[in-house]
Amino acid sequence: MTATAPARPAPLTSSAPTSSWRLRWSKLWPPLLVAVIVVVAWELAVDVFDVSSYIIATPSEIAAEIVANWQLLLTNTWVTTQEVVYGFLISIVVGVALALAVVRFRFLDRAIYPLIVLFQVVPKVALAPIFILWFGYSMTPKLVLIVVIAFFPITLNMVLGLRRTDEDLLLLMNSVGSSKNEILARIQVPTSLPYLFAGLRIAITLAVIGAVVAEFAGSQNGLGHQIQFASTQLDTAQMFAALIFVSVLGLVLYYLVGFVEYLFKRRFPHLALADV
Amino acid sequence: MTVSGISARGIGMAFGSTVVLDQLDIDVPAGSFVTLLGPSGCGKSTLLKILGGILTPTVGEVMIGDAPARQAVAAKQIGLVLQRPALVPWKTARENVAMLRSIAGKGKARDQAVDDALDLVGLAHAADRYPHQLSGGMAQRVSIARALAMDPAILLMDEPFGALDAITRDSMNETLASIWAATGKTIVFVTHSIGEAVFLSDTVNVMGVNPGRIIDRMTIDIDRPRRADLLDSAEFTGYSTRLREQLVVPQQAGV
Repeated sequence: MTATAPARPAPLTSSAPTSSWRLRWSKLWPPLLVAVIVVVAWELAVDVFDVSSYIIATPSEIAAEIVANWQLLLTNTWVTTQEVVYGFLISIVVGVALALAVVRFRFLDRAIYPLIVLFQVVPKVALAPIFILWFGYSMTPKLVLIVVIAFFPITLNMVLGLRRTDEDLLLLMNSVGSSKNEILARIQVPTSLPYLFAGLRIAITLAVIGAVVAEFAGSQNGLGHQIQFASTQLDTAQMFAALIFVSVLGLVLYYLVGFVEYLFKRRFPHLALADV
Repeated sequence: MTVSGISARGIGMAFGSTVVLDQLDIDVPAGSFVTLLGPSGCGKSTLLKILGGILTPTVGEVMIGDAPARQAVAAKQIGLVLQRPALVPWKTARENVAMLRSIAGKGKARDQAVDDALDLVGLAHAADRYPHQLSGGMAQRVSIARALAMDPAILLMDEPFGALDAITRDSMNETLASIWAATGKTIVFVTHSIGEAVFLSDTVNVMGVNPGRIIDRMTIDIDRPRRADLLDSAEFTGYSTRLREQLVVPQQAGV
């Protein structure tokens, strides 16, 4: 046994608390660096190998195109944004309503749910021409295609969440004679909300795909239409410019959904524990 | 709420071709503490739910007070406490207690009865905590308060302390004994702990397996209030030994 005093803890000099900005920067710069290298290499490769500009545009040509066609790109972005947002909102209504109906009514569960699942083997993108045929060049076929593509992950996740009810809690609710609607509203729906948000994240990316594909199939504006139109003109720079705008749109909308989820979880922190 | 007794005659229960309970009679006098004691799989939980009208038996009749048991459920006269607290995680202890009470139509959410129930289980200080901020014993106290706040005629308890550690369990037993003394509720209590059964009960129904049936009824004539030091007395040990013989011997014979 030693009689020395217990060792004093080492002074905390080495690891001063890193600011969140520095932490974020340390995560951000490696992919940023790689991206810059790729863009520079792209620019140089097109020059060095003398690739024709309608095969691939250089980053500088794309940048020039964005500046020159800024107004048109913004107009088309607004068109596509409207389609995606409206389509997404309708998808939520349809997706949630279907989930509630299927969980609430055993008959619908047995009659409709298998069909919904079976419907997923249909390559929905291939439905776009049919919807154009039915609904013309208006916004309607875009919304229909978006809903057809995006409702499923919402329904699937919500059904999962609604079914994750604590059996004992169900027994307790039954012991005071509460109705199925009461159990659904007070227990099942709150439990399902974290699952619903997981579905929404998937649905918003699918909604962007739906909008672009519907525009490919037939439209007079929108970013999908612009890509399509530019391709017939062999205007590669414009195609890439519109592609960048679609990608940024998708990214922004995805993070917007994530932000709403974050606000929700901050407001109702204990709901997030529902599936523990 | 008036206190009711339970009377069950000729109870049989089968799930498919599996007979869980067979030809079973049992009486629970109003205001008494009756235990169903038995090994796992003897159908004691099933019997508990049948006695409370939550489950309808295949054959037989259950009366609570003067009416069929089913009506007691409809009249929200059944308070239920399960092995798991089964609290709603996004509601505080008080809100959890209030929710079932308001669903049962027995008053507003912010009611004195809610606070009284929490007080009775010794949790007035933790009323605003969320379930994840409660220990296992505290959570189970909330679930008892939730049942009491409905002011039920019958309190059904299905191994309520089975998941708790031995020390917490002893203190929960004392709390429950005092709650029973204070409220005079009829309590039907399921357990596989012999000590718990002797400590709490007026009557212990010993159950056997294959099929589930009552093999013995024992009246526990120990004075109340009973305290933890009772556990070391000769009286207590005598009852425990007799119950253990009932439970162990028939099982070995069957093996």
